Amino acid sequence: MKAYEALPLALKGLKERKVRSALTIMMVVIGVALMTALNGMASGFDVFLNKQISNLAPNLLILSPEPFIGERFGSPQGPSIVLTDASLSILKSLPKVKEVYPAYIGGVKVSSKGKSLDKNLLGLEPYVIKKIVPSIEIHSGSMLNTGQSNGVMLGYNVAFPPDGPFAKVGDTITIEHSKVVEQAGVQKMVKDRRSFFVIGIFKPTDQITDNMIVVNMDVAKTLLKKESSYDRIYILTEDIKDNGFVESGIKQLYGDLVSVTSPQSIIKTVQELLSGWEAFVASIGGVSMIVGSIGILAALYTSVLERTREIGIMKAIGFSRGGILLLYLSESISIGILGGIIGLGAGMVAGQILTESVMRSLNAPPIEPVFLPESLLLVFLLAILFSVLAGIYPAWRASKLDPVVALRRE
Amino acid sequence: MSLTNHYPLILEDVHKVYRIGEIIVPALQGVTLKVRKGEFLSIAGPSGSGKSTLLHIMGLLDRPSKGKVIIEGKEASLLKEREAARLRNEYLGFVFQAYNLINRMSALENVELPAIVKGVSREKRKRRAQELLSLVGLGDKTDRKPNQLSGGEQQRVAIARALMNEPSIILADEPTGNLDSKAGGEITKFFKKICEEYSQTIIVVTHNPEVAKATDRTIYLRDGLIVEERVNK
Ligand SMILES: Nc1ncnc2c1ncn2[C@@H]1O[C@H](COP(=O)(O)OP(=O)(O)O)[C@@H](O)[C@H]1O
Ligand SMILES: [Mg+2]
Repeated sequence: MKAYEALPLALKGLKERKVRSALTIMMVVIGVALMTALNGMASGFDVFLNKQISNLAPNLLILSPEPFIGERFGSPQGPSIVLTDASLSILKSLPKVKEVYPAYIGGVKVSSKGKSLDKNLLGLEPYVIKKIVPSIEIHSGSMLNTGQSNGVMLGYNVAFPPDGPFAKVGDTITIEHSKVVEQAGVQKMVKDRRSFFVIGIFKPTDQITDNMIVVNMDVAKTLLKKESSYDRIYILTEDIKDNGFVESGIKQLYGDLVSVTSPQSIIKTVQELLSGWEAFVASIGGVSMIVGSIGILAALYTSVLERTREIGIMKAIGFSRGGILLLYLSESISIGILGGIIGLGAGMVAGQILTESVMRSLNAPPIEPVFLPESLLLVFLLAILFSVLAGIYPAWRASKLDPVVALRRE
Repeated sequence: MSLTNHYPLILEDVHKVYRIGEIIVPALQGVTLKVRKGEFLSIAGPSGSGKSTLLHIMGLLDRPSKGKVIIEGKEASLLKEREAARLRNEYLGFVFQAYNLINRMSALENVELPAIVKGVSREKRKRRAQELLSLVGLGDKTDRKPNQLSGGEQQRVAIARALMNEPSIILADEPTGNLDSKAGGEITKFFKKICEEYSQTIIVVTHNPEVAKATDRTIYLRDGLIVEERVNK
């Protein structure tokens, strides 16, 4: 028999037992869809985070005082290290350090035309932005000048939030900062607000930059009521290769009192997280594939038992053992192919829904799942491999049936 | 002309022993037989005399415990499984008492099946299947499933299937056993016809004397031995 002739015969065999075949195919669909969806979500994260980080200068190290958390919860003792101009010169003098730039950062409420948003205010010398985010571009307006105290730059998402435009170039917006201070043993909330002109709006860049409000450093210092310490020091090394060297130099200087982040280290952390996720995906997928395979095995084995007589007839007609084997393996491969195709489609839809709902429940930015052709192909081939493996035993049993015994059975 | 051209099938001292645990059942105890080309041979005998066993051995579905089976000059015991399957496919056509059609396939697809195994092109085998079904009087029922056909019609489909690859021998095990005398008579007549018109060699197992009388020669089996041989006029 020509091998390709087996496929239509196999499909006819599957069609004869519609319900059983459909259920078996469903099992494969579930396994394939699960793997596709979870994989698509992981790739979506990967692509998203890489995009975020790729905008940052690769030779950038971001230094901030530890503990971050304490600061956020208004810890009374505040950061336990003070980053001053003296710290800047020390850092600058470290070998392989090219440039250092300080910055202030703090949460603010911005209002325009009756609408208000909670955002982070970044205070630095305006020219530094281009140094740390080289790919940044101006969408409209112009760049803030150094020393311009009534001007503000807005990230794309601040100016154009999803629910409609917030402010455009030339608009006046107010920025309000509240801080809890202690006066004579009594805690009190102090509010400070100022008006600014929107000088320029950045093009969409990455999640952090898009949600940023940038003012000159001195303006941020007074508005945020900062005292002696900078919140961030951006360090540019001479080359990416020197990042590790500079980082260990900083650690020698400050130990655990500061945290040092770099695009490289973020990528590494994210990749570790993702590889954990991928192992999880693989184990879930593996289990569902095995369950699916057992389903195929059971369904085909039952068919072989039911068709004992028919297999006898086939042998009388001239099917060899190999021919019968081919026929039954074609049935299991067909299950794998059909289940695989439907599963890929279902998995892509499920991945979209799953990623959207996970992102919504985490209040995270909308991340799109990414379905890489090579992972889709891999999942598809796995489905076929598992279905072939599941078909081997029933097919082998069918092939070695004694035709005389099969034909004598009434 | 070589010897085997005269005798598409030769059996020499064929024995078959079945074993059920400790018990030994001698189904065939030394059958020697030559079947001429174009001969219409019947095998008769009481139930359990070994008729089906003999037919299975002739059809390479079973192997003798002892003795030789020679089909178209090829000794069966020397054949590998694949070669035996090929011989069944190309040289032998089976017809069973229970019709044994594949239920999910139409009449035409059933008839095509041996040609698919042989590797005949789609177009060619469809045309031949159509012709054969017309020959057995079912040219207008080619798309029917077996359960939409009467017993006699199903058996005619089975005969068309057996003829598909132009076999050298047709082997039929009580082909009229499930049919009424009218339908059975038509089957017998059809066998007679293809034997005379196409000099098709046919071996039919039967315990119906009417069928036996229609054949060229009848051998009688009892306890796995040929006890009588009769040439029918
Ligand atoms: N698989 C088997 N195992 C044991 N005994 C068998 C088997 N097949 C047939 N027999 C025995 O062999 C003898 C011949 O059977 P069979 O060829 O079917 O006879 P017939 O077709 O003439 O009725 C019977 O006694 C039967 O019981
Ligand atoms: Mg019998």
